[in-house]
Amino acid sequence: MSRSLPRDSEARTHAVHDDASVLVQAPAGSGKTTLLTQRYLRLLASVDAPERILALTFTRRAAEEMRQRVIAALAAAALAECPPGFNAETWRLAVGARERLGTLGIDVQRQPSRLRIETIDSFNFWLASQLPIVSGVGGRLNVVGVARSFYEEAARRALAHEGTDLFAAAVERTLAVGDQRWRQLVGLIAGMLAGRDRWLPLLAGRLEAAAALDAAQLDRVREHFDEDLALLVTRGLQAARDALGGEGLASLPPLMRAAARRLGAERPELAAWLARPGALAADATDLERWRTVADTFLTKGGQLRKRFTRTEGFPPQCPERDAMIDLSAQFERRPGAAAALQAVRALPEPRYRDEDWIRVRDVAQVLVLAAAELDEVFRERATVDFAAVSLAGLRALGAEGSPTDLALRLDYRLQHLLLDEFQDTSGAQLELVRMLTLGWQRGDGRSVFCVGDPMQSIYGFRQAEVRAFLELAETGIGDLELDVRRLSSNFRSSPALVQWVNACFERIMPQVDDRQRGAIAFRPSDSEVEASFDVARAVSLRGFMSAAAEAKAVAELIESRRTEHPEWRIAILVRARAHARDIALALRGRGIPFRAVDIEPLQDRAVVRDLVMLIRALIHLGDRTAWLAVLRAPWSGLPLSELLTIARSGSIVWDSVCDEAVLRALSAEGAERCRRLRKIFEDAFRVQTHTSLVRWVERSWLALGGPACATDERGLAHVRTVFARLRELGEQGLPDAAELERHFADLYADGGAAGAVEIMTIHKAKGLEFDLVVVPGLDRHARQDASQLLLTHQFARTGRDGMIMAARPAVGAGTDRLFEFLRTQARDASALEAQRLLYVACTRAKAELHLYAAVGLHEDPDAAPGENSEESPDVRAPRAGSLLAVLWPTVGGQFVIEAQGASGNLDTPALRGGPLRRVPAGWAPPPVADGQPAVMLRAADLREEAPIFDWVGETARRVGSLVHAELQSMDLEIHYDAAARGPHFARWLALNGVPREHLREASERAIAALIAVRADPRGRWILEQRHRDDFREHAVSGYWRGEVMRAVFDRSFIDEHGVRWVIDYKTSRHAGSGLEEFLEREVERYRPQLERYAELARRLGPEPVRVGLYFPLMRAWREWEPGQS
Amino acid sequence: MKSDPAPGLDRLIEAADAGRTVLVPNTELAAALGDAIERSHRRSGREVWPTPRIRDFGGWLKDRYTRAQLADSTAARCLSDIEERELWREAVLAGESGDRLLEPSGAASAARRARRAIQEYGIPMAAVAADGGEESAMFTEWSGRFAARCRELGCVDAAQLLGSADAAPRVETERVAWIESPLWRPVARRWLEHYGGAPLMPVRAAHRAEAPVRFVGAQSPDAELAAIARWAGTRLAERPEFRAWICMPDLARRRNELEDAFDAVLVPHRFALLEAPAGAPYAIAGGTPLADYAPVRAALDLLAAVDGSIPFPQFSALLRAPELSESAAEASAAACLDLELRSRAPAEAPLSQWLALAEAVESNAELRPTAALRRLAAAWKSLVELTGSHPLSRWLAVWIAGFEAGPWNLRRRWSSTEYQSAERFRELLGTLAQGDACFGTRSRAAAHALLRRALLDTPFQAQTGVPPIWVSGQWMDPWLAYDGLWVASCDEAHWPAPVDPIPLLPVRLQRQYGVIAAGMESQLRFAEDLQGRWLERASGCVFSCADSAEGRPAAPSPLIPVTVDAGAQPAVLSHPLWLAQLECAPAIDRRPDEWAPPFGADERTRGVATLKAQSRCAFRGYAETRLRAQPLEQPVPGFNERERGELVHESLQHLWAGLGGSAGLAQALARPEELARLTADAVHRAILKQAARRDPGRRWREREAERLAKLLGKWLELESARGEFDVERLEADTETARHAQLDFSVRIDRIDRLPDGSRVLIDYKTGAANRDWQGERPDNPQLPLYALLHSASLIAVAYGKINAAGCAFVSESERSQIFPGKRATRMEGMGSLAALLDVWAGRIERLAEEFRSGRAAVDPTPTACRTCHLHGLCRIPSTMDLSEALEEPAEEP
Ligand code: SF4
Repeated sequence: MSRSLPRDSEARTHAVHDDASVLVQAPAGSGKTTLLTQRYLRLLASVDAPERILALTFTRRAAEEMRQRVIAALAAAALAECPPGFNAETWRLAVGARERLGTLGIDVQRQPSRLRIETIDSFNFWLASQLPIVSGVGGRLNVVGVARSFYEEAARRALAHEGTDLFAAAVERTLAVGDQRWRQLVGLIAGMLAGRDRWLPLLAGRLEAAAALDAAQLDRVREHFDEDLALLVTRGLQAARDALGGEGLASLPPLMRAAARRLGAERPELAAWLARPGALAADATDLERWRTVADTFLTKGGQLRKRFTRTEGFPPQCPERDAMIDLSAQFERRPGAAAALQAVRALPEPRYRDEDWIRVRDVAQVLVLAAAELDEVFRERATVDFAAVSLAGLRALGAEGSPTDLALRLDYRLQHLLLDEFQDTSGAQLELVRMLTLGWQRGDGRSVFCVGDPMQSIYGFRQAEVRAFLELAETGIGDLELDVRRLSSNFRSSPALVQWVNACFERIMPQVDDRQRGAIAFRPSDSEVEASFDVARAVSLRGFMSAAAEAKAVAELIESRRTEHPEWRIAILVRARAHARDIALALRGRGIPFRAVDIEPLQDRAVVRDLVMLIRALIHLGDRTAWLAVLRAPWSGLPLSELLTIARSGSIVWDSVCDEAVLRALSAEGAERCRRLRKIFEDAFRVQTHTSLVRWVERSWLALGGPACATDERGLAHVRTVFARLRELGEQGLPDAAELERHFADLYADGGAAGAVEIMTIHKAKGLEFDLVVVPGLDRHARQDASQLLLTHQFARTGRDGMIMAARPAVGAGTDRLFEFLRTQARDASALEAQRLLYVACTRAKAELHLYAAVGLHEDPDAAPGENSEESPDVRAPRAGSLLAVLWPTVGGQFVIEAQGASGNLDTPALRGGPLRRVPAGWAPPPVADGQPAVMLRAADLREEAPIFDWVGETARRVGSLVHAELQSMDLEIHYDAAARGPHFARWLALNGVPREHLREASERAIAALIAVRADPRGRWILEQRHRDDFREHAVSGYWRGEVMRAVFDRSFIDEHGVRWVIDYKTSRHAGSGLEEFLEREVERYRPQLERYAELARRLGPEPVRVGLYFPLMRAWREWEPGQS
Repeated sequence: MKSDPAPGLDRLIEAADAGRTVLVPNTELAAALGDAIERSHRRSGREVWPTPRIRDFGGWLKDRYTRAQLADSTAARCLSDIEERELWREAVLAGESGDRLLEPSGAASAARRARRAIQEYGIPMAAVAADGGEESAMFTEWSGRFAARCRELGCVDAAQLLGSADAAPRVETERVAWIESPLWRPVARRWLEHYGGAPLMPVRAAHRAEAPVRFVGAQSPDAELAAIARWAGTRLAERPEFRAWICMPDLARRRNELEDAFDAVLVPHRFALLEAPAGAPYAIAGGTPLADYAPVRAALDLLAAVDGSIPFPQFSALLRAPELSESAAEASAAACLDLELRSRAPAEAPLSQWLALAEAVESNAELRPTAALRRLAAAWKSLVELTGSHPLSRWLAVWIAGFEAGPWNLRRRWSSTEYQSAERFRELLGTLAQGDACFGTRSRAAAHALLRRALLDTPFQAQTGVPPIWVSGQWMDPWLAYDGLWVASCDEAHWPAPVDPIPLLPVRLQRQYGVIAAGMESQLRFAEDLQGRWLERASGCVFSCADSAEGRPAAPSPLIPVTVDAGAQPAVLSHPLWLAQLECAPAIDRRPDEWAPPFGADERTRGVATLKAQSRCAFRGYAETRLRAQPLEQPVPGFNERERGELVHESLQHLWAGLGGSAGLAQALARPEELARLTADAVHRAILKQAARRDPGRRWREREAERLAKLLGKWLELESARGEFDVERLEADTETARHAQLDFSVRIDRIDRLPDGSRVLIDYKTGAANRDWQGERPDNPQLPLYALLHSASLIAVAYGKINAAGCAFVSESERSQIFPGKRATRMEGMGSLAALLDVWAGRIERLAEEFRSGRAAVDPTPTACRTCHLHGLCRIPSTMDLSEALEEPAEEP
């Protein structure tokens, strides 16, 4: 239960009620969504239309939740009193909002889509579709979530670029630098394309992917980079100056000059002290001297020297030696001094060296080229990815100098912007916010409200800019300043837990915010939860001698807690998916049900694997592994011995299955199983093209008995996911069979019973809470992106964003200072992020938190084959990059080390294959439908028609239509000059696509036919006006044999003998001899049609019916009495 | 809205019988109304009746115009759909920003839509031009360009017909009637009111007052579809004359899933491997792009292959296309040829080269004749007969000849739907042929691109008629009365629909001229009105919405009357056919299967690769060697990893053959030009040999030569730091190692003799190299195997790691400094290499024996599976699949 007013209620009140723009830092468990909802409702009570407020979230779930809360609050506001259990403040604000909306006559409850609460992606999408031209999109966007294959295709195309242009040269050099490892380069470029909304605007001018970088542009970019690099170096030196203190630095010059004089040529770099004898300047131009200071004061290992020798220029008895020792001791006393000098050592040159620049330029060119190719790929497939949508959204908002006025464009005036999870904002998203609020000023009635927790910023790999939070706090957005409000109440975790987290992370995380590094200072929370939990158990830290021992302990713990607290929600949070495997095996061993959320690759599931093999087999007859797998899958279940017989008889497995001689060499049962399979595949191949790929595969899978081989409905749900992906792949262009499996690799199973223990990644757990949280495998490290093509580092500077880049040095070349420098920055950033990740994990717990690590591993389960060294099985120091390394220096002593399992005699979880599983002999799935389908196709007769298209036929068809149409309106009583209509005919025929060379002849043919008809007695008889039931183009319908029959009688009348005629014009033509035979064939061809017509005609009246075919182009006539073939 | 109390259908029939053309807002309603009339006639027992003329207004206008043209051929021609689209595209691309757009065709459609809207709503173009926004300015510019082109061509577009409907001469003999509908646009409505008199009011369902309304909240989009299908299926089974109208506003997105769900319940035959039945009791409005149908897709794939270079997968797919092989045997021949090609093909080449290469490989490898290859070659020949730029009508003839020779050659196997799609394709070609004036002359690639666009933009659906269940993709009043009506996706975010103005036109103008989607209030009014109409249209009405596939809950639209019965929540329904099969699944047999027959006398090992695989996992050893389960190769640009390895081996063999040992190396290093010449020669010979098998092209050969020369330089530098040695043996011949009575043929890279007579064995590795020979189950027993063959005086074995990232020796050595900077190793505690060799001999023997005896258990070392491609074949169980118990396999005797 919470007390009535939280300790941070003042901050909350300000956050909700201030008119000004606000940035709220809301730590874990502080009720962020409630705050957002309250602010939203408060604003709703002040605007003239709900559309004036835009609330942006990162996930659809968050948007949905917020929208539901607002709607629920508005609904509750209709009640006279705040309903019990409802937040009173929220209710009060909702009443205000409801009143306001009522005054405006707006009923958002009937039209909730007026509440603009959406994800940033969907807002971008909306912008781009509303402004297709300025956004550069063109049409409606078809966004795909998984675009890896597009990136790879674009990368392939870029690397295949040849020619004499700048791009070609850049490609050539990039390949050479990359050791011609094409595949690896494709992977690297593809990897970068996903995040191009971050670097493309910087590389290729504003947002234009297709633009080549010309020499002038490149020079400008280099100038910027040089400036930024110098600035960064200067900042590094300034930081060093601050860390070392002005006093100590002031005493340095004479000492260093002395050393320089003494060492002369031995350390030529010291000569700089002679050339520039004054005090050190914290300025890039003085970098050389700074470096000498660092080298002089630091040992190789990076410690401050306690002694100075001849090597440093201070031999024993030299007068400056003691001063140096004192100075070093003075530095030692200053926190961070050694680190600062280390950082100085690592600083790159303040200007790009030509070779560094050339590499950056080349890679930049290749990336820009790849981005342009990607646009082309998207254009061809009529799809885009989210990065393209994000770039388009930005373009839609216009260039900085001339921002698009949304109000003008879309009749859309924005007054308030709310942003959730602000710590996860990427550069591109930040830019979007900046553009949306351009020109907003304090007090002008417009406001921005950002809420988030930088301590929970864990999406660096998705380009989240943790610095943005600090920047926003310090400098605001554009001209808009934000008031910073910090919440501290935690409504989730027990006081003991909160205290532990406070004590621990206070020491782990930085003390102060640092925008440059992206370092976020820890801020403690206060638990608002009444202590009903077992304080002694709140936190436990345990170390084990092996992963197996650790897994066993996790399982034991959970087993006991489930007995004590069956109602508890328990989670096991891992850093990387691979870390969950041992735990899962241990839980299984104890029969503890668990639910692994997005942990297990879908392809690990047998039912999925069998299906993927089937797909591979179906799309490539020569895919031997897949075919063998299909034979071994449960629906067939051939044992190893029989597989061998088949495999040895030919290179194409399918051929062997079709070969009776081979089947005879199998056991009778094996042969029968094969025959069943063969029949299914023969059927499948016959209908392969009749339906979509997905349906074809599904039909084959059903015929084999695929669903019957699944173990439960969950398995079928997984299969559905595979089919959905297959559909996507089919639409994008099916990859080569050799590649296919890879395209299912990013699908994960989500299985398990409700109420089971949940296993998920820490990232996935963000925003969730559990009664008990176990974080095992703290010792394991997450694999870093080993190699990157281009590293970028962005930072704030006045006037514009600062940014530098460094390209990977050539494979095998020595290290490159600039690249290493950026790598260090990146490593520093990820080390900081690891701290925050651990914070997120720890703050998910309500009652108990258990942090486990294997501290005495025999071998590294993450190592590549053979990577393990011959290290002895001692307790290891935590590996750099592991979460344990984050914790160890602070609470390492609190870990209880369990000695059990050190000898490795615990069962190491190992997977082995099980028995062969198969459907019983003679089994076949029940047919999907009984009997034969009701209506079979009637395509046989159509199929014989040939050829599909020919010019002569097309022209004749048009002439026919023309004559047909003329006959319908021809009146014998009126003079008709067919020849005079020649030009008219020619034009009509031309308009209707008769090629110019055929025009004359075609028009003459029409004229000749019409003249002839008028001259032909039969023609005149047909056209003559009768008095009874005289119709031209008479459309009638009726039922015949259970189906509607429709007919259009070209000509129909009752003649003087009382006979009802039904006549059809046929514009066929026949040249040469055999006219009679031709006409007979025509009669036979059209007889069924005319018989049907006659059937209808008989119902029109009692008159006898006769039918006729008239061939105006040949003036031929055939008539007969229907029903008498 | 109030509907006519008189039965609306009678009025409709009356009008039709009177020979009136009944005008409706779209083709969907036209079909439904026509069908309703016919059914009514049938019910009343009429034998014959005038075929009702029910037309969508736009189509009718166009037909009327075309008919009038017969009388007056001087009137401007009305553009076909394709021509219109292409002209708009041209207009867009001619603009400054046109080619920078991600999707110019999309912009063209948007502009076309905007122009139609202008005519439909009577928005003055001048007002749009005066708007001042960038979008409207661009639209105005494009519009002007489009109109100018139309004038130039003497054509009009369909939108213009609508705008000038008043002015157009009426065909006197034709009398019209029209139906009341909220879908009419203002201009059409005005015209209809003027010429068509009072509208025919919609039909009301019988038990309107008591109409039960239900709401269904489904747990997933699939479950929603399954619920609809089950509803329709059950009703239809109870009452065959049941008719339903289903509204699925997001139909375009869910079409495939909808078909799956409906087929499963209503036409399960479609899931059997039978020829599909043509008829179904349901139909879905609209169609899918013609380009998606097999004959058309195959034709387009063929054309795409003729333009420029194509990558191997594209050629492979073409060669193995089902359209090109008549039987499974022919398909298998094509697959065989494809397999051969994979190890010899460049990454990409023009089709002509692919064909030549395929023919050469077919004959060199003595493969079965490949019928698909012949057909493909014939098609290619026809397609390249014409070169240069020509009007489309000329390209058409060439295309057809190509299709006939290639993918359409076997068209007697087409299904009815495929045939119909080809028929539609034929019609489309006819339409294209009419557009010569409009399209001008085009190069082959441009003509292909145009055709592709046309086929993608033309929707097609096999003929269906109007079956009892009709699925519409539009929010509209179905006008007729139905037994059941279901409106899907009625969640609060989508119903009433959010504002969605027409792009390119100023929103302000849209609101002013009555574009419903442009305003919040108008959307709400429209939704309320439509919902009222729905309730009147059916005796039973169901509204539904679904939680997202990811499980986000959806809230029902607030417009749905609160009083509705919430209905039973349908359980998550997987595919009913799948479930049915799962429910009657047999008990699965389980039997141990870890032993294959012992290795046969006629079988061959794969040398060290066999032992390597066996060591990592017995199943893998068995599958890779005895089942020959190998991954499909895939040609890459340049040399692949294996080839790069071979190149290094080959070059070094040449080099050392010349250098002879450390002395020769020292001499050569002293004369850099000489060494460079030697290296270049070695590299050249190696590349020549490799390229004879698979040539990646000149550029890659050059790149590789440069790379290789550098790499070898690095390596020789490292070798030069060693003490004295003579190369005693170079990888020339294969040798045979015999273990457990099996022969393993091996090729040892190199053995060096040191001055004291001791020997060192070296194996080159161009990828990662580590001490992977250690342990009871080594990842790679290669060095032990080699060492055992040449154990005499052997004091060290090593991998020579040669790659650009770094050159090094990774060794097992009983002395220090045999390799630069390397100390003696622990030798697994054995004390000497000779002793270690004894251990190795035992291991290798055991491995070989295990393999020989046929042991094929799935028992991987902890890391083996990470680099294995056999997961699908070995069926190693999942860690987390709780539904399958982890069983210990019973060992067979
Ligand atoms: S995937 Fe693993 S278990 Fe299967 S064959 Fe390969 S190594 Fe053995």
